[in-house]
Amino acid sequence: MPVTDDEIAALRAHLQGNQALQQELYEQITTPAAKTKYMTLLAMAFFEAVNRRFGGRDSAAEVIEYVADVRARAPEVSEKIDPSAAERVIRRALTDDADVSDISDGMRGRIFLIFVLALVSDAEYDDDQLEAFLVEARKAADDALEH
Amino acid sequence: MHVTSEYVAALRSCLTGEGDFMDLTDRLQALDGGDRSARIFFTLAGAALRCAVRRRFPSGYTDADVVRLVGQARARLGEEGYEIDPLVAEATLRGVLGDTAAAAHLEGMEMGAALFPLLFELLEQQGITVERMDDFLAGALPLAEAWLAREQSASPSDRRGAEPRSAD
Repeated sequence: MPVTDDEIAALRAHLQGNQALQQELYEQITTPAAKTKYMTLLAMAFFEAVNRRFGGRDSAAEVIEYVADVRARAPEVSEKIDPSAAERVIRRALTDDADVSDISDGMRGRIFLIFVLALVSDAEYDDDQLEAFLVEARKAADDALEH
Repeated sequence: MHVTSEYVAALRSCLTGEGDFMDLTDRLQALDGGDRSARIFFTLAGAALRCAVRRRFPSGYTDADVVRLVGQARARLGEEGYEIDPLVAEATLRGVLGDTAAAAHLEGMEMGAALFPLLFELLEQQGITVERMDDFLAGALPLAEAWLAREQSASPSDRRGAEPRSAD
């Protein structure tokens, strides 16, 4: 089953920093299958954002500094994520070498949520660019869900 | 316990690469014993780190400063294939800056492993090279002496290895 417009709307709200709307829309995603689909969309958006930000490079130093920078922006974020895990999840999007097998689904989800927002925010997309980003994420999620 | 000039020389050697660091530490261990010499050496190193942080953030530091500084140190180390745990490094830095609760769960070895990368990073950022090292270490010495004196005056049950105490 492909990604729906409502799921895209929830992700758009998250990326625009409208957490109240994102929460309202996310609460309408109730079934386990729909939640899994939304997580796939979120993960694909994260991978797309990571690849845009790091340009396909696998620079451990850049990733370390970026994770530190994002954590430094908000103490509440710093407390929610394990920086080592965040670095590995980001590097996993860039290379197959990073081992993420020990990172819980919950931690991965938090990392996706926090870093996709930070990466998109840093990219300073206008409305058209944000829509183009969402189209790419949607395509990747639909592909992943098909296979 | 006192920080003799030999301890200063050993830390200087460690930080600059000049002199035979291993030989210096062997002599200190022979003189003072392994535990005692490690405690004095790491107390001096901790005082040096605190002085370096104060130079780097003269008007005070924030949690964000701690996180970013650790990130910078780890990024530099990562390029050399050496890793330190970010949360351990942040807790070590906070501990050296006087937040003893932040470092209370750490072992001396963990702190030691994190302390030097942070110190190297700060010295690099501030351009404290061989020529300026003596002045820098002279500034750290009184703080190390104060920490050791405080530690000695505490009851033995209050002592936790080589970790420094706040000089506030």
